[in-house]
Amino acid sequence: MVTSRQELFVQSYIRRVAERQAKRYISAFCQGMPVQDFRYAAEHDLDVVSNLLRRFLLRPGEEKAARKKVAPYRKLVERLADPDTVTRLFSEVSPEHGKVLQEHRSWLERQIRSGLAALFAT
Amino acid sequence: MAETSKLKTALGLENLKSLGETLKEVKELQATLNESKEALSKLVEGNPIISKAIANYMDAETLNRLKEGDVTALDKLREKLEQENKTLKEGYTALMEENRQLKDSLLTQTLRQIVADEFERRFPQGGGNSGHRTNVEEAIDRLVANRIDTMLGGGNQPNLTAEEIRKMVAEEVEKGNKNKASPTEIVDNIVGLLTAADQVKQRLNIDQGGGRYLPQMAGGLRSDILKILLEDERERLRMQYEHESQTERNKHLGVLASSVRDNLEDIIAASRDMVKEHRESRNEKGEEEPQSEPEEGYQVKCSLCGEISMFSEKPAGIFECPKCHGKLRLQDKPQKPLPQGPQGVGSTLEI
Repeated sequence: MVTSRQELFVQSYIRRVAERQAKRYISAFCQGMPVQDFRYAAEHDLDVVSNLLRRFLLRPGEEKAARKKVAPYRKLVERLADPDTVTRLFSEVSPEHGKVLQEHRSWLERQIRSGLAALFAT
Repeated sequence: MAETSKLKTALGLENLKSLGETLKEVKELQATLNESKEALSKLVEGNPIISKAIANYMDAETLNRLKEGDVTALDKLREKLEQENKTLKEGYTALMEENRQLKDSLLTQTLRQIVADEFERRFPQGGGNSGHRTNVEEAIDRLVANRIDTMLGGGNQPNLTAEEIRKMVAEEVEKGNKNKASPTEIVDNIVGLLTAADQVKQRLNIDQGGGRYLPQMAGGLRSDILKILLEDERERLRMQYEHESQTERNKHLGVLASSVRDNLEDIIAASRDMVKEHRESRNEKGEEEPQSEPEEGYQVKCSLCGEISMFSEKPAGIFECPKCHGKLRLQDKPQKPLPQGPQGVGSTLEI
């Protein structure tokens, strides 16, 4: 399918805006979460993302409504949740956390996979 | 007595004296009057204008007397004269009007004659003159009909295009919306507009099968217009629905972002707690901390700088350290027992 310049620009713009927002959140996360704890979670394969989702977004009884809200952004979320992109964003904000993700890439992939499955019920 | 008579005599004398004076005055006055009369008579005789004026004065007086006596008769006379004048004027106007009509009639007749002569000159008819007048009239009628047909948009002129009809429909719908007219009224107006020319032609009996919309007007045109209106309405609804869904989506995105932002502290705290709980539970169970990372693949530790590099496949041959760029030959050493990771077994190569 041929994509027009305008559509490409819009996609790029949305991606940049979303990345900027995501970096703000990652920065706040990295400031609050010590590298040791982060590394510990990676080393021990803690299922952090699913737990957080269940606790804050997909609370019991609210899953359906939350999934309905998130459904329109599936592509955007999936694009942003690419392991390389996540690693890059972490590395740009906090290189130490980024390094942990580089070293534990399989853990990151599993986290993303389980997170997306929980979010979009796939 | 004697005194009395004396007194009387004296009084008589006095009276007589005064009487004599009075008589004298009367005589003088009479003489003056006579003189003035004579002077006046002389003046009248010497000046005829004054005598005429006097005579006129006498006549005017007579006339005034006559006028005062017969005012009503004069008024009646004036009224009668005015009425006669009015009747004459009406007659004059009627005559003028009649004259104008006659002139028009004469002009029309002359023009008709000229047109007929010209037509006869250009298109001479064979045969007798029996049907001559009828043919000329028919020809004139045909000419007029063609002219009107052209003016009304028929004949050789093209019919209204779809774009023109759409434009008319849009204008009429806008007008109807302004006036808050019902859709039926709007459609009726549009049909009236589009078929106005055909209806005029039909009434003038000059429609020779060239009507654009009238033949199929009852169903076709009306349904076409309704189709156009429905298409427009459908398009408008589609755009409105898209706009609403996009607005709702943006709203959701804002809600989602704000909920993440609001709960960010809690998310971080929850992550830390999770790690802490896991640590505590492990300590309670007495499990040891893993010495190396449970990774899938192979680790290569540089003996020069101590940098550990990861490989998904088992490396062989010459290895170049990405940090110090030292080149080393890889040698398999006896495998150390690797810690069991939750996700599987990792292999380590040491140089």
